[in-house]
Amino acid sequence: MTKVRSTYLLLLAMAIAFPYLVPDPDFWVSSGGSRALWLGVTALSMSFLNRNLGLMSLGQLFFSGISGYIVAISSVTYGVKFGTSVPLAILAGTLSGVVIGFIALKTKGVYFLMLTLAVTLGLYSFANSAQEITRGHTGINSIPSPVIFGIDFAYTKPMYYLFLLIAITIFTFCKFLESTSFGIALKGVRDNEDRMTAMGYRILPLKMIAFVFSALIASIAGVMGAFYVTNISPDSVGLIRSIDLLVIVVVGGATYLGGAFVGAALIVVFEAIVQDFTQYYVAATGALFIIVLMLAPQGLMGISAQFRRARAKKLGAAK
Amino acid sequence: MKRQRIGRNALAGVVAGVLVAGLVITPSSHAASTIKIGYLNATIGPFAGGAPQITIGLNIALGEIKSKVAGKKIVILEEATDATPALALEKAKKLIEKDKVDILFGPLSGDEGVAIARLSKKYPKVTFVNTTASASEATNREPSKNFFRFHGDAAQWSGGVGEIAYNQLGYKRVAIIADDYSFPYANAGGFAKGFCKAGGVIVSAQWPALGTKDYSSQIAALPKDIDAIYAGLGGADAVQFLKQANQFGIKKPLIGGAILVDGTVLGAKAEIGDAALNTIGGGPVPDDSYSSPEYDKFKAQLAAAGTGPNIFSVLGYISAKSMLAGLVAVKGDLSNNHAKYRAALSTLKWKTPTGPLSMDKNRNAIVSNFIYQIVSDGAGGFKTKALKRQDKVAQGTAVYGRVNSCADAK
Repeated sequence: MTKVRSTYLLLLAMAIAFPYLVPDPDFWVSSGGSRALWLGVTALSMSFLNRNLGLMSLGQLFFSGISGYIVAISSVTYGVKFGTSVPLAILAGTLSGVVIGFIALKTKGVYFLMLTLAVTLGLYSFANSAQEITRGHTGINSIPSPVIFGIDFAYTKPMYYLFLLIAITIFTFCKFLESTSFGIALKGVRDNEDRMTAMGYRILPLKMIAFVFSALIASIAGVMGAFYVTNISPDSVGLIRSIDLLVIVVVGGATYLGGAFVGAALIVVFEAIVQDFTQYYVAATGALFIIVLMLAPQGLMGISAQFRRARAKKLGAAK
Repeated sequence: MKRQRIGRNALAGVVAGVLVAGLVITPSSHAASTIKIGYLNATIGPFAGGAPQITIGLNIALGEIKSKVAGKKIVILEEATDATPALALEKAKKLIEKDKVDILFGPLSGDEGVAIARLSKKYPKVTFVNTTASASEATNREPSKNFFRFHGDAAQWSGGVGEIAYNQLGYKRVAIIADDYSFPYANAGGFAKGFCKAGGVIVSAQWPALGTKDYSSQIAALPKDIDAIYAGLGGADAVQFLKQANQFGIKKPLIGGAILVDGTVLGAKAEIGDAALNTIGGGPVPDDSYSSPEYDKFKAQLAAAGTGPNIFSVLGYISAKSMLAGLVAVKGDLSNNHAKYRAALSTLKWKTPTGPLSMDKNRNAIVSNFIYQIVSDGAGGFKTKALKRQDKVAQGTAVYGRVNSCADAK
């Protein structure tokens, strides 16, 4: 336990010192650090569901999109202050999780994946055609950044630290949630629904709470995205971005909470380097995805467990 | 146990190594003897066909000054986008923050242009020169002091088309079918403004998504009592629409958005039959018979590069040449946050291949516009015939959304 704790502390120290260690801080703090944290939180909402319910959702960008669009529309079009618009956006995104969850949680596996993807694509189409509300394909530009206690979060470092704080808080809360009896019940549902039913648990409410919680994380990420990109357009919630997220989750390790951030950091850095050498960097990312999956099917976070298993197998074979 | 830990640590080391290497090997040299120009071009996605034409225009302009200004070498750093605002912003940030470019050249598509124009306010030390993005609001809403567009917006490209349709060709009732994004909005808006003012009526409007592959429902929904169809579609969409219009036996004449009748479309004669014949349209590219010393020279340069005049090569060249002319005028002096350079760009005047160019107070160009008609070339193909050249077309104040009736085009 202490070893795990010291690893976390080391990572935390590195994350805090990051803006002062990198060359080209203008670029790396924002397009590296802040971007990885934003994508990491979005991916976390996906891996939380996968880890605790065994459900892979492509609908997380729906919740992000709802909250992102609400922040954008209310602040740019109506001049609403962030103190109102941000909580409103997160609330709306989270509540939309109840509606979607009610429909989607009745399905499993590939059906769940398709249903959640359909919901995301529905929002994409709506955003594209509801010209009067969402400004269509052009999207909403010039989303201002929040100013809290006189600190303008548009500047790269404040935004990075704000994102870091959000990421740590959510991550810690996820860890805590998993350690509670609720979290253990969830794992029971994931592993054997019938047995949990037989033991007297009501399955749907358990699943619903987990799903809505992941919608809450995705909604918070949606607000982060609106502030980071300063623009929201239908492509922010489209199929390509959903698949980008899936890549991050799988590369990082879909059954580990930390995998979301490891995957996001790797993809962000990889793309930033590779795009200097080739314009086919998206294809290069695809190749990286395939290589990681071939060498480490459990993702980067799963490598040590993979080694342990290989070692145990070898020992077993030697006996 | 020990071996296992070594293996684990080695892997962790490799991952950390990749991350750290990424941070270290990024080039960050910024010698004073070079001028860095970041170049955004939508070489991925719907405009992949046209995007390289902008590069040809840029290269011709660079060649004319041998890529040097007052002894400083001009370095171009290109990034590919896919016509979406999100990726254009991401790439622009990368060029500015990581590559530390002095000037950002681009982007191609309307919505990208709006996003980049807004972003330019965040980077007052960088000068932004648009390539071909033509949505009106990039310059006539919240104009940014460091964003320049050396060509007309899409509404300017329609300047005079509506009047000719009504007065000269006698079209009274028109139905609109156009791609659903900012560029066709402005393009159709510019048409409808002139057309409605002359006395015409917009009977109906349909806005299919960019990249639609089947227009049969839209064609079926066209009203019967119309004199002409305004088709604001481009590239592959236009070919598909014209092909189906031909199959459905639509006999109504067409009024083309600026991108309806470009080389892609005219080259697809076998597929689209005579559907494009007699189409009128307007845009920044002159008809085939146009000639001026500047245009003839430019056409020869394009021919040497293996292409001809089209929206992308023409605007790519004019934008690049303007950007470089400003640099030449101030001898590459970008000191004091580009103060001299921007002053030179704001008052730039020159004889472009397509006529005289000057700038308005929002740093959008006042240029000539060409109205033409598609006619048979007598050998089974199409060619364009000039109807009118409109000079000194300036940007209006309107930002058009979907124009569904004349009431939307005031």
